[in-house]
Amino acid sequence: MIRGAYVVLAGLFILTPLMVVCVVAFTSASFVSFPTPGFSLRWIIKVLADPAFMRPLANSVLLGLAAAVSAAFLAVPAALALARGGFRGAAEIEAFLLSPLSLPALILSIALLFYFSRLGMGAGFIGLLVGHTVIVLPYMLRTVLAVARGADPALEEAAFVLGADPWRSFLHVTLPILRPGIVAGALFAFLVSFDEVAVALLMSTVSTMTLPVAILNHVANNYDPAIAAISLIKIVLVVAVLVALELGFGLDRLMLSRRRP
Amino acid sequence: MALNRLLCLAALIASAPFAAAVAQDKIVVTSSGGVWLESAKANFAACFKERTGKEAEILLSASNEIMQKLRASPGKPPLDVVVLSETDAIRAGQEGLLEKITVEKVPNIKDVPEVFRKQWNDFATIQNFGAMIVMVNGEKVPNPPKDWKTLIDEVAAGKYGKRVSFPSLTMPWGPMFTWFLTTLYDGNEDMVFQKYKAMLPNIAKYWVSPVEALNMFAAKEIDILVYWDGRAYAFAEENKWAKAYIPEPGAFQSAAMLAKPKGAPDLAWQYVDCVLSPKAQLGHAQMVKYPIVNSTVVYPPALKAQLTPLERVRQPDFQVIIQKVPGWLDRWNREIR
Repeated sequence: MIRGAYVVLAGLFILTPLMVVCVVAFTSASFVSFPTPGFSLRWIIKVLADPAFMRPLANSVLLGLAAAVSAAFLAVPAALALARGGFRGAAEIEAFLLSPLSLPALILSIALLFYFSRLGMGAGFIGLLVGHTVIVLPYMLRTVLAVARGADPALEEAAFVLGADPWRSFLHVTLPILRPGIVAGALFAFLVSFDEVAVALLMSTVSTMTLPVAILNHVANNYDPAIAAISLIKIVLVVAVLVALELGFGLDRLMLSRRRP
Repeated sequence: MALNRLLCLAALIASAPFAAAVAQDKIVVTSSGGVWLESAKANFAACFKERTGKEAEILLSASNEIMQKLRASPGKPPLDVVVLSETDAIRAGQEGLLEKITVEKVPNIKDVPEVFRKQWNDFATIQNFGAMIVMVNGEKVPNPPKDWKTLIDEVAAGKYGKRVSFPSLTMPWGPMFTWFLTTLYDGNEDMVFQKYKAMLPNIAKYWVSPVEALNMFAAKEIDILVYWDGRAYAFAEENKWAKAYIPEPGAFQSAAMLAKPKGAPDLAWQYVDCVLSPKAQLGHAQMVKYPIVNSTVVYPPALKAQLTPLERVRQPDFQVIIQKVPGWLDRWNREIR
């Protein structure tokens, strides 16, 4: 009973602000107010028809996917090496790879801006991708490392004994074992990248501006409820992805190892 | 095989923006968002397109972000025309990041009075200006005080309850407002900070975000708000319960500074000239409801009534402000925040 009440309270604590955003998105007023004086689709329609929001939304989705993929390419080999250990400095390397968690994103952003400018590249998609990969790498590494450390090395050995070369063994044995960690890490990576603003603020250009930066710019100069409308669209998009994953593959199947203790 | 396909896809995704960039034949300019962006598109970029046949891509960017980008690439700026805050424009000029505006490069500059350029040594010019004035809920405060000093004293005395919001010193134009208050108290900074402190118990919030401030006023959480004139008049026009007025003896001038970074192509001068052209300037004033700087522009009477006249505003001494800001911020954080 007490546990149930606690769950309801925690749920309300998390959901109530989101509910306010959802309600304000349908306001008929010209400014953000709650409760709303009336309901209308005007702000939803305005945002959906406005390239100033839709192009950054597409950029954010593309960037989130690219950052998750590139973080996976870096994190999976690193996680395997760290899980198998057996070399000096493994603990230090793990700490180094997780260190972006403690690095202020704004500092990283300024450093990237000056670094890429010196390389003659300036702000742009590559800079954004590098910045976001650095930021999301620890999330991917943690989840893959956790699965890799719990994996049974005998399975890979069995593949070798049965004649598989290292590449086939990796593709057909190791990768399926790591899949829950990779999918969970990719979800985290995508969501973190999708919401990231500090790096995107300095590294984005006209054509690569991300949704959080577009929202920030809009908020700085406008008081209309378009922000609530785009926030609602963003929430719907993320929930839709999670629902699609659940219906298509099953989140449990994707994110949890089949080997239960 | 699957891995190979993934690698190819990732490479393709990463290279796509580069391919687009190579094909671009346009300049990149900055603007604030919302109505500012709409005006930049409708007035400035349209004029530029008409003159040159080329596009001006508009990047929404704040002054401090622009400064970081200019400092990161001196001589090879990623931005071709920028809009900066007054103090950032002075700093950028001093740091050699901007090119001087001359009548040969920008013919329309001849119609911009010197007062709009002098403090910036011609490295930047004001494109439009505004003033910080007072908004009141006319239903709750039918007879607001006529002058700033009375307003401040009455707020400190609690006459309006805790339903008042003034700008924070930490917001970008906070130092300018503080400078303006010092002019009301014979240059006495201590007095200004005493007043800030005396008002504190009756201030709902010293606002940092303009949107947050206007939302508080729109939601009727506060009855008095010190705010930008253009948006204040526009809001009052839409909401009859709201009034906006300039207390005596006027207000301080705040401005959007237009500049061309050093190293940007000469084509960018055409955009600067467009921004200062009479047609674009009038169109801009009509959209954003702020006064512009081209002296040949004649406002329609209805618009003129909504704009703060130049003689009602005082232009801050930005060199003084740049020197004072660190000390003021330190004092604000210790005594007021």
